[in-house]
Amino acid sequence: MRLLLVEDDKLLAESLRKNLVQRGFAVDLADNGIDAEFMGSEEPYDIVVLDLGLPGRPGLEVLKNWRKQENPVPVIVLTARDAWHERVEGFKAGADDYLGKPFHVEELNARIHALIRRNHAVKGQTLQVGGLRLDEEQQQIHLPDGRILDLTGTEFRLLRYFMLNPGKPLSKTRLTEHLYEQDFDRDSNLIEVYVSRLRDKLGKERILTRRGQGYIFVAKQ
Amino acid sequence: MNSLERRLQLGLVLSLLLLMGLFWMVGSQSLRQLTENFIISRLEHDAESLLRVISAHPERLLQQEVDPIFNLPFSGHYYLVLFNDGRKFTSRSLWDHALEIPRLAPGESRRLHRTGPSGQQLLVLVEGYDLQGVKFTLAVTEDLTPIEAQRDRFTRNFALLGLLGIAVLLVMQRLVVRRSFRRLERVREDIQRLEQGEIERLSEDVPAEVLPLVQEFNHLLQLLGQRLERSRNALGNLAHSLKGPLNLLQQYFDGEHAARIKETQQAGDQVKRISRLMERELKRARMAGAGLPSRRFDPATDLPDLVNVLNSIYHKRHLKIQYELSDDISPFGDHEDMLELLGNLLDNACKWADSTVKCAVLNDDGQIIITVEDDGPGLSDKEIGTLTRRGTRLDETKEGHGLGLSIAKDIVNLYSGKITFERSAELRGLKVTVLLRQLT
Repeated sequence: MRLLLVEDDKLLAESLRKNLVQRGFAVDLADNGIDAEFMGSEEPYDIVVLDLGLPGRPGLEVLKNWRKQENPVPVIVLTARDAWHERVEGFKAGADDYLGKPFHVEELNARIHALIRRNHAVKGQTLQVGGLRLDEEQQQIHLPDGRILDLTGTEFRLLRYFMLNPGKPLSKTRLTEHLYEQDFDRDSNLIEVYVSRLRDKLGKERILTRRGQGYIFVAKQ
Repeated sequence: MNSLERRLQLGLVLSLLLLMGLFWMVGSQSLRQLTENFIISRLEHDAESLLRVISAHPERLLQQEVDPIFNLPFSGHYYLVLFNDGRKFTSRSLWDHALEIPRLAPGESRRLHRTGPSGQQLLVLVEGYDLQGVKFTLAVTEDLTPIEAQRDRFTRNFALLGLLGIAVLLVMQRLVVRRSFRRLERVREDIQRLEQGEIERLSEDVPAEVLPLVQEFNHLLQLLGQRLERSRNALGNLAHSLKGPLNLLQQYFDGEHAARIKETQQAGDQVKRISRLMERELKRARMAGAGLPSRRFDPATDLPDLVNVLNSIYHKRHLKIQYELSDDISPFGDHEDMLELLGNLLDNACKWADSTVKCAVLNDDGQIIITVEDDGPGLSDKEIGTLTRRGTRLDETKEGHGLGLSIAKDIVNLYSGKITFERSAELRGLKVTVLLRQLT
């Protein structure tokens, strides 16, 4: 999951980034409105956490511009002012959720997960596909036979992306884009390595290779 | 005396009275002079004809030779001839009335006023003569009473006409003044529309006399607006810059290592307290209150927007948020204040509701009635009592009804409105009713 964190307070941004990376997100940081708008338009983020009080360009304007360009990326708005008129404006500008500062990191995590699930039309609190259940808290996978397997950071990210997009062909480029942050040295061979590791853990039949198209995560057994 | 109209009236009345009085005095004086001169010329005429009679028969005066008017008793036309040798002739008309006449040397002439028989006001022309050595004094008179009566009638009519003129002028002035002040009435209407937020500044198409006032007012208005804007921005910036560090502190105390030590736990609680206090006071400081020229809250567009936001926030709970609006409701209150009020009330209702939240913004004869009710557990009578009591603050340290309702109460108080809490008869949860004063 690629996440764009737009926050001008460097310390807070760094602390949030650390936390979000731990939760298996590839996080890019922007500390002003102009960079944020550009990055949000150019990169295929899965979610954006956007602070409204930004230098350069106000967060609301950034959001409005994205929506004007028909960029549907889900956005959680963070704001220090936390007034109702701001919430109304935020939602009207196209925000998907809203969090007033100061907030608990758990709250932000919960909102991010909820928003991602909503966006991928996932029902319920946990991610379950074809008898597999992903524990996002512990980064473990529950197999149908009751076994619980630990996942490494990259395995977790990859599997989560697969499980959020079951039955769809996913190219290596797309997977790389959504798994690694912007300045990561993208080597598509890495994806092959991690796909084969997941196949080892879940069984070969779970992830199919489509020549020229990429991989498909099988939804049904 | 503070009424401009009264002042103008008084000035006009005084100056008109002065002017009319002067006219009246000068007029009646010259009229008197004129009539007297006229009568004197007639008397001179009489005297000449008498002289002719005297010069014909210097030893006696033949009554049949003089004008018959001198023989008519008490006709007002009398003559008196005093010879220096002691002889004295009087007209028959004088009857036996004695007229005191001074003896004059020849060539002398005098005008006198005497009271004649039966109170006649006599004008007397007395002249001294020397007719071929016979020296005498001749007096002829005419009664002024009828001519004076006429003159008095004229001056009285003149005075009456003058007073009537003053009255007419006063009425006209009143009309003119009212007409001029009606243009000031527009300024008053403008101010009312300003209060309702229909316009942002007063029209400067006003009489030159009040233009400086209106301009000054507009200037002040602009200053106030800017100040509100500035302080709201400054508060926003303050919140923004304080909340970053607070957020970091909160994250630090949320961490597992911190929870293990008692002191850090306590410090963490203090951070929470600071955040809550700050939140509350910042919100309070941002309230604009009634009567400032700011964007108004338009329920027809703003309420649906707000409900959309709440639907997004509470989408997981699948709440039914219904709202009702009067058709004839015009924008009222400060946009931010009213959104904060309704936002807090609706948010509170959504938090506690089981499935349904109802909201109504109604116009009752110019008074705005806002009701928000839910089908949640509601409040106990005791809690409602605490909420309703004036001046009491809710326990803001607890989550739930605390902060939101407290802010709502503050806003309503700022608008001199009324807020009441009760059990909803329909939904059985909490029902909050807000009355905002006449806004037309």
